[in-house]
Amino acid sequence: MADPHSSTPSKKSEQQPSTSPAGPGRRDVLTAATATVVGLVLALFPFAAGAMVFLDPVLRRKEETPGGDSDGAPGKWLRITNLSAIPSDGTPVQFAVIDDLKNAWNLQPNQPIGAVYLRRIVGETESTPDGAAPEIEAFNAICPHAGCFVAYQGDSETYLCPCHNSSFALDGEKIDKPGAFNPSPRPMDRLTVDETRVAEDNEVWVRFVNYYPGQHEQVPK
Amino acid sequence: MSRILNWVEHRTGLRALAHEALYENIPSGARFRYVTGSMLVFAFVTQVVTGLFLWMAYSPSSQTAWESVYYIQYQMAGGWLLRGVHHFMAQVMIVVMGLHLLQVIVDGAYRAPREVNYWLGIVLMQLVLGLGLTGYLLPWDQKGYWATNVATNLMTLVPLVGQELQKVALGGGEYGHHTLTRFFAMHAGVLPALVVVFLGAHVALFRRHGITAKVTPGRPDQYFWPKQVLYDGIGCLVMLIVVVGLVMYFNGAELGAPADPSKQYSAARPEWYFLFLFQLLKYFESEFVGAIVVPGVIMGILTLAPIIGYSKWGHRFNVAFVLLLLVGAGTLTGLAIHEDWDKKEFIAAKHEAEQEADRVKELIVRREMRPDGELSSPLMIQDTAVELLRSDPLTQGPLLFEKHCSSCHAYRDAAGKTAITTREPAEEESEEESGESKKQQQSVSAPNLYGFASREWIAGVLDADQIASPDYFGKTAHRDGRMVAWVKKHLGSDADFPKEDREAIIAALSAQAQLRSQAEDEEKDQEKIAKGVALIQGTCATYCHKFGDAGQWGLAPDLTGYGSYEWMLGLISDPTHARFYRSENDRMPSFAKHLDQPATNTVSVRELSLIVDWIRGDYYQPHDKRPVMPHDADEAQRAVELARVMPSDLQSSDGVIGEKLSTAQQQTLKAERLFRLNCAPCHSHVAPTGRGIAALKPSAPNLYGFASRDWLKGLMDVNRINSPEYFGNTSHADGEMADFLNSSFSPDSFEDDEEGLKEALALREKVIVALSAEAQLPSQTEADAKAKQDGVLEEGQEAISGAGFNGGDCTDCHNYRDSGLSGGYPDLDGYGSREWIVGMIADPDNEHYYEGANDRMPAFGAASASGKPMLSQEEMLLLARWLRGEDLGVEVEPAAADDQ
Repeated sequence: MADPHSSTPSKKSEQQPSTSPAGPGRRDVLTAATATVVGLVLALFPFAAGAMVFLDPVLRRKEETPGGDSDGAPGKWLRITNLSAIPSDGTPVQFAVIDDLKNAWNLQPNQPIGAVYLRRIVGETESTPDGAAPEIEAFNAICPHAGCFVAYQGDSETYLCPCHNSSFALDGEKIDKPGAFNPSPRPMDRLTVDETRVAEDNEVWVRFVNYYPGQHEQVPK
Repeated sequence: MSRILNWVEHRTGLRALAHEALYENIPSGARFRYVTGSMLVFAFVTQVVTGLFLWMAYSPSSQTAWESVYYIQYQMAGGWLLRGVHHFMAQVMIVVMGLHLLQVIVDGAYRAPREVNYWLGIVLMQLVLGLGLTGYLLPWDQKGYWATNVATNLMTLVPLVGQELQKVALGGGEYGHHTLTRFFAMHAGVLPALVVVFLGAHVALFRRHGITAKVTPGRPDQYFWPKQVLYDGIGCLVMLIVVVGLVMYFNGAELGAPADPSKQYSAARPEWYFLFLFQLLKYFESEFVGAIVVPGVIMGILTLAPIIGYSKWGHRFNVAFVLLLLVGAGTLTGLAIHEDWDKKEFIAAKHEAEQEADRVKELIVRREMRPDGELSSPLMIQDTAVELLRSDPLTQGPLLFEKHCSSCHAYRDAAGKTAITTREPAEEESEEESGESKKQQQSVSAPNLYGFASREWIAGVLDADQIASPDYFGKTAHRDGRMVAWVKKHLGSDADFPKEDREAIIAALSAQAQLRSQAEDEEKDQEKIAKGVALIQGTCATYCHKFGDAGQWGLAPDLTGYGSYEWMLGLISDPTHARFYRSENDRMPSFAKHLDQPATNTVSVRELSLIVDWIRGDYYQPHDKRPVMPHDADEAQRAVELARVMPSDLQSSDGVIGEKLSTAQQQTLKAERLFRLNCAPCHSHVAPTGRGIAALKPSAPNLYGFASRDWLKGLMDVNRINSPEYFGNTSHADGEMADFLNSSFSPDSFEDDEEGLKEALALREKVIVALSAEAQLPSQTEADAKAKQDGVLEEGQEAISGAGFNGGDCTDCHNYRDSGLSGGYPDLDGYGSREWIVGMIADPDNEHYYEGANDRMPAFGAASASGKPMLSQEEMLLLARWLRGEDLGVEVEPAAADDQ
């Protein structure tokens, strides 16, 4: 490599004589503005190119949510279980909700997509008369506070959230005991049960909806 | 040498740069208190480098994230160390960052002119916390998954854009591949890049303003190099030693069980440095306050610290605030830990999660038996890790049992300890205290299934003291059933059933289950088992059960393959099947009756298979010499099909498809099927031509032409009554009836009195005519009318009441026209009539029939365990009419048939 300065390194030798740039003029303002705009465009372009993909989850939403049934109510009717699987003494039991699970490029059929608690409503009097369909109550198992799964406590007959101690009575209402703060903003999310199918087919179908946690009102996801 | 250095310096200015970097003046000299900044830089660089190496082996998708981390941790050379350093360096970095902040505030290093640099530091702190949060999810284990789930749910609380924010962060509405890809891009790309930018600015500004020195008069200034560099190096070294120590102590970073979106991990907690925020959420009804407002206000005050600090009191406030913040966060963290410390559910969930984590790692390196008897190499993960757990009987069995079986069945070992983790024994105690609660009644209403079909278990069934206890049939309808009666009669303390025989039966029956836990014993006890098999064939299978080719279905569960995988699946999927309890099933649901419509089953066959494999101990265990793999869904399906294979003559035959049948033909087919299923186990219905339905195991009279003159002739024939056609295979063989015939009609008892014999035989003919007429059989209508005309009928009726045969009168035993005895001997009034036959089928133990002397015939009309009788009134009537040869095309009201 030809390097005339290799043998005599000196700071001075690097400084080439040059004419100093002219001070800012009117034409330069335009140049500066243009340069700034060009620079901004160049800098923002890659971000703009990625923005669509980045926001895809939000943009996609409108096209794909089926919007529930024809009556406009949110959620999807799903078969949960047979009537016989629900204890007759009114103890709630947790059931997995099975549906096709869409996970980006994978579509896995029949995957657990959530959970519900089902229980028979047992009246004060004796069990339901023969022939009459029992009343079934369904709750989404997701805690309305922060979205954990609540657990049913058999000994106290309450639903208890293991994360932040929200607790609910059998009917899903909040339990407010003095000394034990209940952080949940609302009762457990009740789901609609198809009474006709309970009566006619002995099957429990539930309109399954997930609601956003942490809010006083139910906002379907 | 110096020429080369000079050359490099000339071309790069490196020396000047190094000089600039190293010869920074430190007023009053080097101090250890200045090391925290360098330590943080070192920590960050370590994270970048170890992170890059981890990146080379990590695969972010919900099907591969946990799997690749597992591979790094447990399979790759030094992987545990690399991941451990990355994990614990992050923790230590948080601690040092806290110290650094404290130092900056206390020393006033945030005050003018260093405000901007302080703000850069605050941004860096957020970025580092963001790295911690995003990194927690990446292993995709239960802990990270569920803790991050809560964190991302909190994002929705941000006003206006919260829900969109969450969607963008998660890459969709739910957790999935894109949650991981996005978190990973944040963790390994966006956040580190921002840290580099802000760290660069932070350091540059630091150099611009110089160190905030603690000036001690008389302590000389020093350059950064070499002493402070050494101090910094020592600080970093200490940090490194701490990190490596932590890695060694904890044996690398923890990797929990793979994330399962369907299975909440109740012990999920955020990383310890977020615990105070987690705890904070418990105190505010509005999460918005707990998760956004309070942390926001704190960050706001921290950010404003330089402005506040312009005054002296402001600075004191800042110092107090930071100290208070640390104490507050520490207290909240302590509270969070303390609350979990003795929380039963938390400990149980944590324990369960640890077990699952160990289990899945065990399963990944499972080995199977190759056909040549050698163990294979580790089978690794063939689908996903979570699928390994979901198809593991040891993991799923107890959970599924708890869910589907435990409301009736107990699962308790001999010590009385329940072996299902989730159901606490304490719960049962409290129930007992509260008296006869509904739940308690329900909780043990069926046998304890611990060790089902093992020798111990069967020994309990065959123990007169135990069989009626709650561990067996005590709380079922079978408590009063034939099995309990049999055991009490034959195996009670005063019975003479040989002890060795009982043990042989136990060993042989248990051997049918082919339990792995007993394989060695069974190998040793082959002779005993062979003896037991013969005994079962000669005992159990002569009474009620089928066992191999001996015995028949219909009265009690088949003992062929008793307790085997296939038998158990068959029973659980449909206990009402002919092979098992049929209509005597007591309340047990048919969990998977419809193989062709799996969606209508209460529990899938695959889940049943997991329960059965678990109860039988058929799951992988690493110390097994001959490890087994659980049955898959296809095998389970096939097993159920196999369990339900019926002998062809029991299968329904509704005629040929498309064939048009008259009502009579249809009813005949139906009657024949009822007979095959219910009666043909013991009775034949075979005409003298040899056509008809042969008994599976003839042990009761041939009912063809029952109560007809021909049939009665055979019954009252000394030579035929003891044949298999009549009483030959019953307990009535050589009984009182045979004795009576012998003394009344055999030539021996008349010796030379031929006249007497003739007279007796003639009278017998009349008795037969009269008795047969009681039945009013359609085929004998004319003959009966003729007999009435001839007076034979009347003579016969008189003879029944008092003919004075050598052996006595019929009414000595039988009830007839208000004379005779009731009980033990069937009534002769209406003998063979519809009502009589229906009554006999419905309840042979009735005083009108064989009370006390009934030989094994079940009461088909009695409410069985399921609450329903084995045969309905209509079915019994149909059988009676079919036996009597009536025209089945004519409909008959079933009423009035139950008077008998």
